[in-house]
Amino acid sequence: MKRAAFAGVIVVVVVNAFILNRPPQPRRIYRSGAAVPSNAIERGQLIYAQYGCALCHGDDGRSGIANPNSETDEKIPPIVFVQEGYTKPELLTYVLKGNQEIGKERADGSAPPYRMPGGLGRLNRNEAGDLVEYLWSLYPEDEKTDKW
Amino acid sequence: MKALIRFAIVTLGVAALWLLVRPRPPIKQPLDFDHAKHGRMECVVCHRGVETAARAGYPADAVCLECHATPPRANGADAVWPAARTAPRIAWVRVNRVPDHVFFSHRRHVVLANLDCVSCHGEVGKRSTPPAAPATRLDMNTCESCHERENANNDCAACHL
Repeated sequence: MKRAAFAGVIVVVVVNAFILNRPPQPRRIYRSGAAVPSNAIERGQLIYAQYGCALCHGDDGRSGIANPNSETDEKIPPIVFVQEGYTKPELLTYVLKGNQEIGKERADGSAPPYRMPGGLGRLNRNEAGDLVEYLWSLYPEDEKTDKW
Repeated sequence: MKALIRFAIVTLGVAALWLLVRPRPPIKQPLDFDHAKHGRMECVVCHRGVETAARAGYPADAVCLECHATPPRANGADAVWPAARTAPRIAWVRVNRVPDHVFFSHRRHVVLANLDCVSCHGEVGKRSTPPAAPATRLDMNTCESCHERENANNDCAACHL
C-alpha cells in the first residue's frame, strides 16, 4: 500500500513538473497589417519601417550608425539629403540594387561591416517607388530656402 | 519475490512516464542571433516563407550577407560566417515543429487570416538571445481553441492529412 502511494506521488510530481515546464499557451490573437495609406509618402514611410531601414539610417533618416572604414565618414550616411546626390530614377535603382561594395576610407583597412541591401529580395518596384517618395520628402524644409 | 516484481513494475512505469514527459534539451543555434537588434524589421524580411509557403523557414546566408559584410559581434558568428567561403551554410536549428501528420501553413495564417507572428510565437522578436525552446505551446489544444474562438474551420481534415 505504501509503495503504491509512493509511486502515485512520483507520478503526480513528474506530471506536474511536465505541466509546469510547458511553455504558455498563446491566448490572444494579434492582427497584422495596418491599413495601407493612400499617400505614396506614407506608404514609403511604412516600408522604411517594415524593412528595417531605420536600423542603419535612423528613425528620421538623419543619424546613420557607425560603419568603420567606410568612405562615407565611417558611418552609414543620413538619407535626408538624397535629393542632392540622386535623381529619383537613380535613387529607385539604388534602392532596388543596393550596394554590396561599400568603398573603403583606407584602402589597406578592413571592409566596412555593413552593406546596403538591395530590396532584400522582396521589395518590388512599386514599393521602391513609394520608398523613394518618402526619402525625397525627408529633405529639410529649411534647406529649401536660399540662405546664401 | 512479489515485492521485487512490484518494485520493478513501478520503476519501469515511472521511467516510461519520464521518457514521455521529460523536458526537451535546450536548442542551441550556431550563433547567438539577437532578434531584438533586428526586431524592428518585419519578420518576413528574414523568414521569407511566411507569406508564400507553409514553412516560414530560416534565412539563407545570402539574406544575412546582404547587410553584413563581416561577421557581426555575436558568439559563434566568426565560426559560421559564410563570407570566408570555407564555412558550411549556417545550420539554424528548427525551434517549432508540428507532427508529420499535421499540415500547418504560415501563408494561410498570416496572409489569409491576417495574424501577426506574435500570436503564436510570442515576443521572440524582443529576445537578445536565440530561444532555447518554443516560446509558446503550439499543440492541438492551442490550435483547436483558437480556431473555435475565431470561427475558423475545426474539421479534422483541415489540418490532418
